[in-house]
Amino acid sequence: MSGLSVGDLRVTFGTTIVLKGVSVSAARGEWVGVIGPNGAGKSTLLRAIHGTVPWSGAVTFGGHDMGTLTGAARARLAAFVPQRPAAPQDMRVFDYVLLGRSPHISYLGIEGRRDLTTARDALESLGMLSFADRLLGELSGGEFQQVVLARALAQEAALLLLDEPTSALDIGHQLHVLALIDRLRREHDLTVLSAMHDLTLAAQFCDRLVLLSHGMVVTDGDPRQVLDASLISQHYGATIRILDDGLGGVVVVPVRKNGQPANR
Amino acid sequence: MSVTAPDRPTRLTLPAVLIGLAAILGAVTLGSLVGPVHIPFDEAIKRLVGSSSTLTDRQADILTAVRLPRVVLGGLVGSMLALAGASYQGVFRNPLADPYLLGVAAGAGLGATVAISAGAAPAVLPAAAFAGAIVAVAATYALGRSVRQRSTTSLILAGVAMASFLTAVQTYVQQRHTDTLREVYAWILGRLSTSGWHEVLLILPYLVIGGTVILLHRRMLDVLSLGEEEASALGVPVRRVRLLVVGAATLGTAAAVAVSGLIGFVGIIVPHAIRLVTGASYRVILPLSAMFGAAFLIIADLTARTILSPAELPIGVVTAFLGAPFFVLVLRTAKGLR
Repeated sequence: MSGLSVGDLRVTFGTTIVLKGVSVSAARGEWVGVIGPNGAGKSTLLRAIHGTVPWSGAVTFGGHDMGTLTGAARARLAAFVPQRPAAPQDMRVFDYVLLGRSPHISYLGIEGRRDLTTARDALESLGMLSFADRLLGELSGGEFQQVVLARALAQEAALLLLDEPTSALDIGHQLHVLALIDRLRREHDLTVLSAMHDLTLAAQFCDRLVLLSHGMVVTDGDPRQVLDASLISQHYGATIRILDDGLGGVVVVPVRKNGQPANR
Repeated sequence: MSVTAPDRPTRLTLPAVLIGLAAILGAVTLGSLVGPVHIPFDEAIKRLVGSSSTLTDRQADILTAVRLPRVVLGGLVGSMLALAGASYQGVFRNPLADPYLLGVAAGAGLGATVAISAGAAPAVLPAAAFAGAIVAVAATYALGRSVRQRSTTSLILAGVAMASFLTAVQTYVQQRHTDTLREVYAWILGRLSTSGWHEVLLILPYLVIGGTVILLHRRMLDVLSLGEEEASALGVPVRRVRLLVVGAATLGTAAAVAVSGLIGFVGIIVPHAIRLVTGASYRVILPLSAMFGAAFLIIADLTARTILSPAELPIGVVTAFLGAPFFVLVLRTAKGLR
């Protein structure tokens, strides 16, 4: 099954052109990180792919033309996790994960045995089965993010679209959740496209990075190659340094305008 | 009241259904037997199952042609208002949404006022109120869709504008016909009045259709609680769900309002009380709202017609008077119940 291919994608809101002909691809099982400053069009790219904003161009996944599919058929191929997923406080965790089965259930239908098993397995796969009977309002940020991933996994879609999956978490939970995503994509052969703010984490977890700026792709390639100090500085409007982490990866450090690292 | 096995969805359980049915049965029994004319319980049962009883013809008449139709009408109206309130809260993700949100009440009020002021026959009143309600919500929908940034918020604001406008027209008509002021006022405060089974049969088809469509969408309302974007991303046709559920709730509410006037509060407090006790799943909230809405309104109507007997209080006064303290009680204790 072939991966994701996005060609000449254009999105316009009113008179504002948000994406100006973006082309991105991701092979089956590959994790591609989309980076870029605020307003670059990262979220819009994800939204266009899963079909909640109107677009023109070509989007195919697994050989299917995403533009011609029904909402449910598209949702069986691509699962989307927004930056701040809605969390009805008094909803049970299991009921929440079960909502991920929606694209597999008919309009007025109700979950069958397979839906229940899949939701249960998704929770178990994330080590969250013991939380099944808790309410969403009782979870910590990290626990909730895992439950959100369980819902996406229950959707059984081969493409995972994640908008800033760890922006609300502390460093420890960021690493934990990203490691979980990495494990899931290997176990389930998922293609992952994620918008990322943290460039260091993006470099450590993604196979490939795409730098977006002003609705266009600036560069696309290996993280070490995309994270070029002058390129990033130019597009983010910030001075940064790229350091070697000593383990084969890179660390991106912001630096104060006067050139000196921030200190007191 | 909900199943809590870790790999089962929350759903309606037998004990919850039995409690709901017991509440309805208790309310129907009280509502049928209590009143100025005493009717003994055992004799009433005998009469209703068709065996010989010692009820006089007058007692039997009061039971089957006066009290039972009124109790059944109260149950249907209460059930529909609670169900419609729960649906509106689900579709608009707004805890303050009630069945009158999109102008049903103001439209029905104007329809009824025009009919009363024009001296129309009482039989015409429900039709006038129903027509007013439907026209008002259709106008709200058209107004909400005409704005550039369509959203549920623009629809709610269109409802507010429509309701204010129609209420202004209604007040104007009312002031121009001061001779019917009292009658209009009584209608607006809500009253279950019956002439035999006529009203029950009149609204039953709308309530059956409205209620069925809403209950069939119970899982969809759960998905919609994630908001429009996430529901769409899960493949749910959000606009279709919203149109069908709001349409069904409006149809049922308009029918209920046509025979009962404006009964406030039921559509808000019943679903919220259920939600506080059972949790967020609409597959539990909807059927239980229908059951407890019925029981609640039957008891409220009983109170309205007995507390100042032979005078009758407007039922809207009773629903608020009983409902508000009851709701505060649920609010204070619910966390402990779960």
